[in-house]
Amino acid sequence: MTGKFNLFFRVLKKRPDFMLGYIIVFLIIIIAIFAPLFAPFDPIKSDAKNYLKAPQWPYLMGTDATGMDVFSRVLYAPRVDLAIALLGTLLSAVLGVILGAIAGFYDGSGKVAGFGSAFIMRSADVVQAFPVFVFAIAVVAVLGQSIQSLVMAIAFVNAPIYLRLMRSQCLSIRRMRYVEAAYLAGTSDVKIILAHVIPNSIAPLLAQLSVNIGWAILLTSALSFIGAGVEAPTPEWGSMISMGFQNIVTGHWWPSIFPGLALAVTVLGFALVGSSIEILADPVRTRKLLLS
Amino acid sequence: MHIKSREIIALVGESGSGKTILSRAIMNLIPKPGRLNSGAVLYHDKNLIDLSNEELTRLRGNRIATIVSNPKGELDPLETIGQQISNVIIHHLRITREEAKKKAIQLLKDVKIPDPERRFEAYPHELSGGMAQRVIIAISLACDPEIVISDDATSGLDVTVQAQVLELLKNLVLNKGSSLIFVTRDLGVAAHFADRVCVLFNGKIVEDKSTTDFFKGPKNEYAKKLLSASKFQGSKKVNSHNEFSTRTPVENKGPVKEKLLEVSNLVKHFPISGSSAVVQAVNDVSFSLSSGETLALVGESGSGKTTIGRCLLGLEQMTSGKINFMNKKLGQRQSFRDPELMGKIQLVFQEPAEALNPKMTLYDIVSEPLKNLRSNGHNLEKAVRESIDRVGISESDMNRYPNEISMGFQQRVGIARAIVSNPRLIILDEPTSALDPTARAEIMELLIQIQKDLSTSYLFISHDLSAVKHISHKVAILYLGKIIEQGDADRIFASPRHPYSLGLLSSVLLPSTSVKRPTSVSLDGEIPSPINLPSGCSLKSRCPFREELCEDIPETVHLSDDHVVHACKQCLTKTAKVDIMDYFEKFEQETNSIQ
Repeated sequence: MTGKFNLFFRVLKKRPDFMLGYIIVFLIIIIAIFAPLFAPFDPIKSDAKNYLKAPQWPYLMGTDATGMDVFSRVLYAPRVDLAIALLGTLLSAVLGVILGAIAGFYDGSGKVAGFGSAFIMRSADVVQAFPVFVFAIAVVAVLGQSIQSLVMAIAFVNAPIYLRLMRSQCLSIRRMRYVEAAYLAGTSDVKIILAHVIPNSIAPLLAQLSVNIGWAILLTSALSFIGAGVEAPTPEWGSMISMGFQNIVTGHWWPSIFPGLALAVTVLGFALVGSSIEILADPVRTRKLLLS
Repeated sequence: MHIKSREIIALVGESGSGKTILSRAIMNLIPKPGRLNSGAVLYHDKNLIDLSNEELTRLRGNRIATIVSNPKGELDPLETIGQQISNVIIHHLRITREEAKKKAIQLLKDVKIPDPERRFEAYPHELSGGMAQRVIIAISLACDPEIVISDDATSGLDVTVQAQVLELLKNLVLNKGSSLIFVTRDLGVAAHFADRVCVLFNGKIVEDKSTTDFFKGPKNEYAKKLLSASKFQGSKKVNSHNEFSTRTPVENKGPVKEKLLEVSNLVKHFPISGSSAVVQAVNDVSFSLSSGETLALVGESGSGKTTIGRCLLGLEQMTSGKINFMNKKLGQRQSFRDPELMGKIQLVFQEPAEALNPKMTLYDIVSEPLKNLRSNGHNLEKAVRESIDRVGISESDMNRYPNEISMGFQQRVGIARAIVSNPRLIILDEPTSALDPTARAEIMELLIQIQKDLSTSYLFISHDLSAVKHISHKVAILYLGKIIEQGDADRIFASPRHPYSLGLLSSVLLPSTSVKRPTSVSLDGEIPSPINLPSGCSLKSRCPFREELCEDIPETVHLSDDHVVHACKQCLTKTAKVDIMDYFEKFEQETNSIQ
């Protein structure tokens, strides 16, 4: 285990930007957990007298059109955004891994199993045929506007990504000699998938997971921006940007720009962590990086 | 180390002994992050280490050339082989394209590529492995280099092709007055083709002797061990704890031996997508196996021997035929879920590392077959410990992972997994071909011991004839999906009657200098594609006895109760006159006299 930690730090030394990614993600999580300690105001209490104040003490990022403190709301927002993104992505990964393993393991086999495998893949095609955003809106429209349906939307649009990754991994791993050996030992298909196929194909999925959390946050915000996601006054970056949007023309830029920046930095952080995991999961690329 | 002109040295050592690094150091081509710490490489009194990159580039490929072991990976798939050869010539000799082409065709002719003018335009994917290796040789010889380094150049080729290529290489190099360095782990290659042998161990040359002296008796302990491990491969009588034979005697309890496995008329065709043609991988093969016996399936790659094993196990669906095992039908993928058959046939794979799940501990790997048999916890642990102990792995290693142990030990784990369920039949699919000589000898010994103790039957699939001779009771020689000769192992090794068997046996390179290889019956060329089988005798393009218009149709001839051959009459009369027994017998006598 110490060897792995060592490797991790050597990679970070080579790529300081990865370090930045980890710091960002760490800070965002801390902020989300301890938001009440950092925030100077109640994020959903509007102060009618102090609307659209420019950034100044005590309103570090100013106030929005209803007089709510932008800084407090920016700090509270990751609670909603992160929770939706994490839950949605995890759900999509679980769904994708299970279906992908089945689709890959039975690909090309005859009868029921082969048909099931084909059916799963065609369903994934259908989901991916629509633009992600349009499909997510449709899911929210059908399930009704709530946080749960946002989670479901994210799970649905992302599942095909994991499904395909898992299937392609599974296609090569089911041809491995140790899978044949397990089959000769009389191991059942379910056990082969659980004990041999999934543990050996999970690494690239982990890298995808982290990148996807970033995207999922972006998608949550985008849906909220067009009014299909989290509703005001719940603090959420996307809806904050959209609320402050009409004030930009009058020169009141702060209600939109600060949550926008927070969103951009967060997505960057998760993307960096994602690519570092991608490299660490691949020994060849790790070695190349360390030698460069 | 030094090399004179017109000399052939063999650098011998096991994987990790530093032989490849040494050969690359000569050209100052050590892969990063390695670095030459000290020392000198003198070539015509010039130190190559001190030369600049440009000067070295002028030498590489021109005065000093390398032949690598993975010929297909070395050729650029986007250029014709003619272009690739001429590029080297033009770069170093600065002549026009036309002259280069002429020279390239001459080179292709020299390396005995048929129809060189047409092949000049061929792309690498159109060539077989042996052909590609010849092209690489042609490239390396393009500028008449003074030193040629062959880095395990033939290890990926079949024995018959290996013998041809090495013979060719040796003759060409000597004719051009160059020197040759063989980097190899096969002492047989050294014995037959080198003037001097250097043994490497842990990065040091531990023995440097002329070939004849070396094979008479090396001084260094490691060199001795290596030589005896290789000899063990070649002879059955070296094994000290059994005076007569290392093979397990088949117990004849009753008058009729119990037939364990019976395969009749097995056919396997692979359809080619987008065409009506089929690959006839296995064509009407029948054989049987009794308990406690070993049957070897022998043949070049593409002869269908692995496919037969996979059909038996249901890993491939056979096209037609019958397989009976313990009086039950086999050949369906679901056969092994039948509780009576579960665990009764096991397989040991060729690539030990790929056969073990990297995410499982050795204990979990070995116990998997038993878990499916639902044996209870205590018995399970006892059985796993027993079989791990049997293959010589200590209990303290049971919680380690496959990537933490050496290849030889990985193969032992594979064997432990195979024997833990107490199988009646183990299919050994080239179990030793990926291993170094010493590990190979140990695994062979282990397999023989296991057969003695547990009286399992083996189906031994291999192209390594010396290993086959060592372990099997019966031999079936396969050529293009057909058994062309089968019978008692001793009889076949003593007097093979099919011309192909003769050729195959004569291409074995025994690690000794005093016995002469019978080259007169060597095979030409390579195994034809099994898509369009030649009509009539399938061997007619390669047969050492062929005459013009050899149109004889082979027939099945029972020479005796336990010796069947499928050949044409004319050939049988000719093969009867060839005495190949000498080659193996003399070698055995020699090995025994040293002992």
